[in-house]
This record gives sequence, structure tokens and C-alpha cells, in this order.
Amino acid sequence: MFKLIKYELRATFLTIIGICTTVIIANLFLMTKKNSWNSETVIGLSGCLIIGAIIVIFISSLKIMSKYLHEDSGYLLFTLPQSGKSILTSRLITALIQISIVVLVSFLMSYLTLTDEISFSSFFENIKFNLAIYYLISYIWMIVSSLTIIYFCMIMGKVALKGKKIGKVGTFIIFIILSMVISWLSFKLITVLPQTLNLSDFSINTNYNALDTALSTSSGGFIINIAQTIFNIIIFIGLFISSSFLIDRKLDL
Amino acid sequence: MDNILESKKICKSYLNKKALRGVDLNIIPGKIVGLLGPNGSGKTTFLKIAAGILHQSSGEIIIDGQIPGVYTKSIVSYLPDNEYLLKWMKIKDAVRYFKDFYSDFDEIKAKELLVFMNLDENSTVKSLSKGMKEKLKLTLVLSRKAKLYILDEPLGGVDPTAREKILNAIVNNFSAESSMIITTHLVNDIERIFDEVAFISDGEIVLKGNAEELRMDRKMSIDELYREVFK
Repeated sequence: MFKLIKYELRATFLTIIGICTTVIIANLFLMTKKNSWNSETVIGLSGCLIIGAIIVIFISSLKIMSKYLHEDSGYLLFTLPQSGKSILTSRLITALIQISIVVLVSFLMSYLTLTDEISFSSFFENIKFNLAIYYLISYIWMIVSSLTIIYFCMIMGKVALKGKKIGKVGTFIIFIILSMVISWLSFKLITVLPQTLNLSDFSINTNYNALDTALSTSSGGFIINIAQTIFNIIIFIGLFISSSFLIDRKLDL
Repeated sequence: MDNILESKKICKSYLNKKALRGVDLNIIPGKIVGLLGPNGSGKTTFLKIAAGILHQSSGEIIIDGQIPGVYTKSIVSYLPDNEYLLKWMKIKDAVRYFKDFYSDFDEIKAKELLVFMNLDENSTVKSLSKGMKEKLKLTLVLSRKAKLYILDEPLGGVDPTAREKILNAIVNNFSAESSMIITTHLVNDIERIFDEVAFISDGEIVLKGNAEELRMDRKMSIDELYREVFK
């Protein structure tokens, strides 16, 4: 599996370098305009650069999977003595590494562009360890779970609709439907089972409004809806196993 | 002797087409089998099922006692009829890739074959001509000590001189413990290496047997027999 990650990273090496170089050059340009343009413009453009870079690397991660499913390079990957689980795990880890490199470079360059005084020591001093862990896990979860849903839809599209074009359109339709169903079930669960868990002291609140999660997090509590979290984990495991099964037993090149 | 490949009534249907209609084919160790047929007869479909990248609609295929999966992929060396190598790769990257993923890959043999095929390991895959790509693919596939080699049109798009070189590479690197199944249109060029042949038409095996016995019985070459069967 780690060998797969090595080769996938090598395959996208130039894309990552290209995005990072673009972000660095664009931020350097913004730095030169910092005193002549108003601060809102610089902040806005810097934010746009972060969002743009993340979108590009995210799409790049999806395109790699699409190429494996619809183009000749799939013959190389799917004839390797690797299980579907191994192929999928390596794809998720590779995407996480690629996206993280771009996110790190983008935020770092944005910080350097916008700050008046570069001070990493005060930045690290102000970080709360438990808050950092919470956001790190949330970040990894967000990327891995969203990619798992999309990869499942891509594989499902390829398995159910054999043609290249129809498979890609089908992927999009399956994604829309699946996302709507998951969101609806998730919302219903929050309504029916509103119990939340405060991760800072592991206390359970039965009357908590889960939609206030963001506010509570910023005030130092890490509150999650128990039912929704379990549901999301089950969905992730279910889609991961289903995708692996489809690769092993149903995928036709 | 146990068959390395056993297929029983393999069928493969697409929405409006039947690609295979009950293919029965067994391959014993040490034999080179030619699967011969015109375009669209089902040759590639059958090979893809054996390679584990296509799934039959019905029937059973067993390779070394197992259904196609991770194990069979580790003992089957498959040469597809397309350009599947990654474009960023240099030839040496492709060799390293195979070495990393296949425990039966022989790097020394690969380097010998690269010299034999006049391929520079520092060349990039995308800079190679069609014939050179075919030689590279064959080098990678033959450098494995696999139990079953599956070669789909190994001479496709290759000039006559290169064909001879490729055929020599196949013959010289084939061991008696292995088996090989080859599809081709260029029957005349390749028939000398076949131990057995199976003629496939419209998804069905219409004739199969020992190549030498067929030549003797029918008093014609396999190439002439091919023309007779598919006229």
C-alpha cells in the first residue's frame, strides 16, 4: 500500500509543485501591493488564493481516480496484486498528503502576506493543544469522508454505467442523490436524537441545539452530536467497504 | 497434471451484445496456447476476465485453483493491448514499479531484455514509438517468473523486424513451468511457437487442439487453417 502512495505522489509531484509555486508567486505579488492597495482587497485576494489552491488540488485528486477508472492507466493499477481496500486506502492517504501540502503552503504564505510582524513563537504559544488536536482530526475527517463519498460515486458510476461519458454523468447524479440522502438522514437524526457530547469534559447534554456547535467550539468546548457522529462513521465505513468490494468483484475495465 | 487455467461456460454480456457465449478452455503448465479469431470475436474479453479486470456474467474461471483476485494477479503476467504505462515514467521507473509490486520480477532479466530490445532505460515512456512501447511492455511482462503469461496482441503495430525480435524474446524467456496464452491476428508470424490453438468466433470456441496434430490432420498450416475457419 505504501508503495502505491509513493508512486501516486510521484505522479502528482509536478501538480503540487505547480500549485505551490503559483500560490507563492501570487502572495509575493500581494506583499508588494500591501501598502498601495487597501487591506480588505489584499485579505480578500489572499483568501481567494487559498480557496482556489484547495479546489485545484482537490479536483486533481478526483481526476487521478477518474483516470484509473476510465483510462488505460487503470490496467496498470488494477492488475497489481493489491486488494480494493489497499487501493482505496492509498488513494485517500495520497489525496490527504497532497491537499495538506497545498493547504499548509497556502495558509503559511497568506499569514506571511497579511501579518505585520512575523512571530511563530507567539503563534505556537497561543495554540491550545486539545483545540489543535480537535481541529486536526476534524480536518482529516472532512477530507477523508468527503473523498470516500465521491470515490464511491465514481466507482458506482463506472460499475453501473459502463460508458466513459455516461459513467461520469452518472457519477455526478449518484453524488447529488447520495449527498442529499445523507444530509437529510443526518438532519433527522439531530432532530430526533439531540444528545451531544462535550469532548473537553466528556459530559453529555440532552437538550443541546447541535446547530450551535461552531459557537461552542470557539468558546473552548468541543461539542459533537452523538447520533450524527456515529451515523457519519457508519456511512464512511459502509461506503469504504462497498467501494473496496466493487473494485474487487464488480469493476470492469 | 493440474490445469493452470480452467474456464467453464464463460459468458459475458453487455447491454445489447453477447461478447462470450460459454467459452470452455483449459491450459496445462508448459504450453503456449494461441487464441485466434477475428476482431470482435471475444479474445480480449476472455483475456481480461483471466487477468481479473473484467467479470464474467456467468460460468467459472479458475487460475491455479483460485478465482481471479489478488492471488491470481500475483501469478499472472498480463500484457494488455493498450498503452497502460504512466506517461511521467522513464523506462527505469517502469522497471522499478514492476519490481516493487511483483515479488516474481527479475530485475537482472529485465535489464538484459532492455539491452536485447535496444531500449535505453533513461528514455521517457511518452517519447517511445508504438513499437518501442510494445517492446518495453513485453520486457516488463516477460521479466516476471509468472505461472501464466497472458499476451494480448503482442505484435500489434510492430514492424516485421521487431516482430521477429519480440518472438525470439518470448521463446527464449518462456520456461517449462509456465504457461502462456497469446492472441493475435498475425497468425503466420507467430504460429511456430504455439503448442495448442483455439479458434474463437462470435464468443464461442469453434475449434481447438494441438497445433502439430491440427497441421497433420488438416494438411495445412495454422495460418491456412485460420483463413479456412474464418473465411
